[in-house]
Amino acid sequence: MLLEADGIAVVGTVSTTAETLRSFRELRPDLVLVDIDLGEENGFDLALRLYEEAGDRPPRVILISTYDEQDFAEMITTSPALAFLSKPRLSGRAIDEILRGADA
Amino acid sequence: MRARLLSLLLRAGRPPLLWGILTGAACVAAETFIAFALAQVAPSNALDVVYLLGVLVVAYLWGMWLGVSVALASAMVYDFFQVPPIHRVTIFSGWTWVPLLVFLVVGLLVSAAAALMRSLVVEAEERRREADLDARTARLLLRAEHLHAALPVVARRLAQGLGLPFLAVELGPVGDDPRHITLPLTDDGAGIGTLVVPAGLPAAMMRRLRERVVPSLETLLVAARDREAISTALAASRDELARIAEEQAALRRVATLVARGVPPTEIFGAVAREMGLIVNADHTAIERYEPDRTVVLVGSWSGSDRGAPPPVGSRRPLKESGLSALVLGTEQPGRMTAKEGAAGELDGWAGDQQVVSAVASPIVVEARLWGVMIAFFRAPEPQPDDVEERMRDFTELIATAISNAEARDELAASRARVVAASDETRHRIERDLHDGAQQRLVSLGLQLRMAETAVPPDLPELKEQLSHTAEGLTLVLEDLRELSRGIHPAILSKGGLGPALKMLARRSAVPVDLQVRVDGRLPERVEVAVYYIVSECLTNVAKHAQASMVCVEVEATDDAARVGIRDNGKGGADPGKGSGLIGLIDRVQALGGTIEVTSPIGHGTTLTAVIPIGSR
Repeated sequence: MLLEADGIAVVGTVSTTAETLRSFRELRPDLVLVDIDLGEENGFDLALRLYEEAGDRPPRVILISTYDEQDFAEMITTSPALAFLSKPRLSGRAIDEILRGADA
Repeated sequence: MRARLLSLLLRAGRPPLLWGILTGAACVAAETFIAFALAQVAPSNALDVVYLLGVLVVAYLWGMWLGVSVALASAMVYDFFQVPPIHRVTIFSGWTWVPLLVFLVVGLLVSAAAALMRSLVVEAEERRREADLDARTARLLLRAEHLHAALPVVARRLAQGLGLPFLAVELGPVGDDPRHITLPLTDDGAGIGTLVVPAGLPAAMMRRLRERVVPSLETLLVAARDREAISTALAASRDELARIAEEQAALRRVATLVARGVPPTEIFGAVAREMGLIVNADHTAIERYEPDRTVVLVGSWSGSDRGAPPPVGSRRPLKESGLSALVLGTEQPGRMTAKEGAAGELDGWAGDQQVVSAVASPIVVEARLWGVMIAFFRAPEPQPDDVEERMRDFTELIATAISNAEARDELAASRARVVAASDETRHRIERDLHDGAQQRLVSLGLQLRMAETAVPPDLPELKEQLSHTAEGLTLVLEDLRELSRGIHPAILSKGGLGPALKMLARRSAVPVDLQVRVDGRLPERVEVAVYYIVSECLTNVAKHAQASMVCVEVEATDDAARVGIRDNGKGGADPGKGSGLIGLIDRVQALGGTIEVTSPIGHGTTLTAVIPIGSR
């Protein structure tokens, strides 16, 4: 809702690793926001799978979480994801900044 | 010469009569010559004394009657040669018969005295010999280890000493035999044996046997029998003592193992061996009853290479006719022979066909039949009655060991459960906070942010207020995160030890040289323990050690995780004094691990912990 307000089109919302991979293959989104905390499953692993799946067309993945960045700093740095966004800071502007930084 | 003379004088039998007559004649002749010689210097009527010498000799050696005859002959010769008128026998014609009569009377008395003396001397000699014989017999009998073995020797010596062709001493009654005479040997009326001698012995010898040999032999036999009984009793009690000492030593060895808290498997092996040696078994086995009517071999021992036991841990179905099933049914010790065991197979011990019998004793742990201990024997004779008794001491030790080990395991398990439960709770609280309060706060914040953007520009104060509230909410969220971070590190459950320890190292106030060699994930309890050990140590180093560097090494193998933490601070840390070390020690011990802290003053502090990665 907030992201829509910031001008980002949300093409799909899924809640498991399997669903994510399936809809990723169908929709090929520009950006995937992955919550680190997927219940029993793990956002870091999912990010890895997405990059493996995409092969030579790497997706743009941003990890999000209620946790603070420093709680997972070590894992975030080793993840192929573009960046981490803590949920309170999640906004269209923050995402734009990250994507601009990545494209540059 | 002297010895021959002595033996002649002491001989019991008399020399032949002809020798006596000749000797008497020779004596009389010699005495007549001596009398002639003496008559030159002495009055002839005193020379009759000379003739008494011959009388004495002959009477001594051939008895009184020949002595009297010699005296008579001496009187005639003396009368003929010495009594005037010379060369005429005057005894019937003059008064000279008076001194001759006196001579004859004296001669008679001398003969009697000589014969008596001879019989006394002979008897004294006989007694002396008998005393010697008794002494020798006594020595033989009392020194002998076994009375039976000594008897033939004693009989031979006796026969020799008594001059008998044959003699036997038997400890029981002897059957009738016309060639023998048996003399019963008794002790207070009770028969203790028989003396066997040839039939037809002279009456004197029989009397001698009855009066002197039998009584002394009886006394000696009784003494020898008593002595043998005492020796046997002593030997038996010595053997018994040695056996008890051996048994006590074996029990002590096992008890020491039990007291040391050695694992039951090791104790089973030791008990199987010690008990096998104590009861002289060929094999021993300790089996545990399982609920599904099978038994598991938990310990065994074999006295020889033949018939090696099945491997420890092997399971077999309980054979209904077997000894283990018998003990399971009765809960009492039991024994069985190969004949009683079905088809000659004794309780499944297939390896050794020579086993003849087995004795089993139940192992009762805290009033519940836990298992059975079986001793297998090849010896054909039945085992002594006290085997079960002696096995019981060992089974009781096993029971104690099992019960100790179970108590220990239960304690460890319960400690582990306590630790696991507390970890689980913390983990859950952390997740609840995250999924509940934190998520809601986040979405509240987002809503506020949305509300803020929706505020019309002509209400700047409201916008300001909303922005302020959103910031406050972010601070609350920050506090909550800090709180949940202390409760349980989220990164540990998400990323495992590597990232979590890296985070600890990054946040440490003292620089950390971190080396983690862990492949994949470890069981959660192990990860949590390692995490807390490192976390607590780094906190302690920062607070107390005044160190400039901490070295942390974590390594995991298949069976254990090892943590080593070393600082270069001032040392002198005491695990007993407050500090979170106590909590760490409890945690590690609850997992069956070990933790060690060395902290010499001035040389830094080193902590080493090993945590098993079991399946428990």
